[in-house]
Amino acid sequence: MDLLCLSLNHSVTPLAVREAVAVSPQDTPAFLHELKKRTGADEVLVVSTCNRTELYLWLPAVATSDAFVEMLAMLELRGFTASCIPPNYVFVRNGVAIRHLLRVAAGLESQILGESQILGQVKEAGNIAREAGTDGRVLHRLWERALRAGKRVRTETTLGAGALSVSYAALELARRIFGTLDGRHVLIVGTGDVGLLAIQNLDGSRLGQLTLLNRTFERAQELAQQYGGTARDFGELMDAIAAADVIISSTGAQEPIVSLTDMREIRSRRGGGMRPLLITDVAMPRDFDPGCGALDGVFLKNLDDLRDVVEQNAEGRKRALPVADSIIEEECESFLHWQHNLGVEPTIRGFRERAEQIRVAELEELRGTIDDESFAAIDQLTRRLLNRILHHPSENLRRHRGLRDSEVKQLVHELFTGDVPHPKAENPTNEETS
Amino acid sequence: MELFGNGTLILLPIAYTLLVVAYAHRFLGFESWFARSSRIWLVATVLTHISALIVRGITVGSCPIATPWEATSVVAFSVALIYWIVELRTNDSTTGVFVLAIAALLEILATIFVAGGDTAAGDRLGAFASVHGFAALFGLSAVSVAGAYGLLYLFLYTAIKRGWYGTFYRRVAPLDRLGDLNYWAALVAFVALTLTAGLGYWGSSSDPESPAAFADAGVLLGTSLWLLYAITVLGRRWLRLGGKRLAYCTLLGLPVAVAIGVSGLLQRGGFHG
Repeated sequence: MDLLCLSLNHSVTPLAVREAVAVSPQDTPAFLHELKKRTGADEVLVVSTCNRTELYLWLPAVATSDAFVEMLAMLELRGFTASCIPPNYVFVRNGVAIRHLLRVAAGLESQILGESQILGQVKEAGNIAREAGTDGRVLHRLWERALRAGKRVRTETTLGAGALSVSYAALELARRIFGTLDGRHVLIVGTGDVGLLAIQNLDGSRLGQLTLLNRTFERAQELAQQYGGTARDFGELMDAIAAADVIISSTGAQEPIVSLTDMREIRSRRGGGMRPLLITDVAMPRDFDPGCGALDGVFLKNLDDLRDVVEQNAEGRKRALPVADSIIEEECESFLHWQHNLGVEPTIRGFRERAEQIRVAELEELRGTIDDESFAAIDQLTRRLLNRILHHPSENLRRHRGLRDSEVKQLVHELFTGDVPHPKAENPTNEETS
Repeated sequence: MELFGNGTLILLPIAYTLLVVAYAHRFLGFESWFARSSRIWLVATVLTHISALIVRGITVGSCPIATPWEATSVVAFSVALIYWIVELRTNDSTTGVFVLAIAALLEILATIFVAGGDTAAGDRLGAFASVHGFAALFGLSAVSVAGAYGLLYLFLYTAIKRGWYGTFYRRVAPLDRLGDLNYWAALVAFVALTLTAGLGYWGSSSDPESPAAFADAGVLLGTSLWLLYAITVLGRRWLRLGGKRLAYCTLLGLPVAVAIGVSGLLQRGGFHG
């Protein structure tokens, strides 16, 4: 019995290869069925994002090496060529594979430590496998544990706290000032790559108004239509600033587009320091005169300021790692315990059934030799006696986590039947190869 | 009843201290039982305190504000009550540790006064004096809360301006909300101080035996505090007293409120000498 994971991820696999092997949500059901058929696995699950494609297999009966070869073959069909020096994939089994999925869901294996999107992607992967009918008791349970671990890490640690990109850091600053961006007026000055990224990051916020300004009016108009904003002529810059709460500016201008005198006038039109104004000037050279930041109620942040936010947040996330690791260990232990019981339960059920058969057979020999009342009393007595005798061995077997399934079965077989032990194969639980 | 009164004397400072610890845990993001039960601690402390004040009122047969420890205890209670209302209204508990620390400090001071032997009930107050006195103490509590919010606003404002992105920046309520809380606390203070001043003026003008209205330090300080808050609240629109300016005004009220409190404590013949 083996649980396998073959992972092609950002730490070992080049981007071009990751792009080639990525399985889209539409293609995933067919891929899952093919994978299950070719490897002979009982259960399969695929997690595929821009940073990773991971195949999870539950193999109760098939040889691991055969399944591994088939997994590689399927990925080779999509343009992957395995190399061992340096390895461009990670292949892990059992305990390590379990821990790996839990860490992935918690964002501990993400390129941006603690990023939250991965939890939704793991959830989606499990749902697709369930709908395709390729998961089962073990992988479904593992998937549930992974989601639980991911949620716990997010709520019980600060691993996901604080933005780790400049544009998110700007939004985080806005939230520290305004609480929420709901109903706020956001102005994007310059709709190049940075401006576009800012608009995309704002997508989903219930903004009061989104205004776009660009030297090429058509470009602003095009994006305004796409993202539900209003395009204004660049000549209306001062009016637009006076009306805004948050400004993200990234033009290619070689001189500041807003001087200190301009800002003083704008501030006066805004009612002095009554209404805070956050300006994130991510242009190089800067769009706003640095002196604007000294005015009351004006928070001017440039690229370096935002990088400071990002660096401090990254440090904060690293400090949360020990707690996150301990959560992963707890959840991993919990899953391994469940998996262990899953193997022991049929054995326990078997010897209890056998004991019950013996009891009933012996009791039947008494039937007719004693009156009904005595028969019922003996029936009840033997049933109770059997339960009490078997209770402790059953519970001890459940608790005995050091033994592996096959060893437990053999031991129980010997204890309750006295037969010669069956020969058995080695089956390690915690191994990693790559 | 006396047993309950004596029991709460010891219990309340402990309850307030634990309350501050619970809100500190919450502010720092600890996943402790203390942090999760902070709201329950708050409700329990406020209810215990109001019960203690009612029992004290029944015992002395008047509103329990006649002695320094009673007045200090009422201010502590009012601060906690105002904070509770704020938390219910905003569902924000990040400022609790700072505001409730004032209440805890005042309640500990009140207990020290009792330990110092000043446990006399003082003169019994009539209904008019009770309402006047209670409104004044409630106003002073609101001034303290407004001052605390003003201070928090200025701290966060400076943190954002200077790029100090530490625990305070990450954990405390957003700047805009602190500004709102600052204004609402100032408004409550202004209403309570107006009621106090109005009742005081009406009382002194209708009673020929009453002391000269503007002759004592308490009245002078109280009037200046009322004026400051009138300008702060009413000038929000006309004088553009928002954000940092509002915070400075409310903060300015804090030493005046402390001076009023100290002058009340020092005068042996009561607040008006």
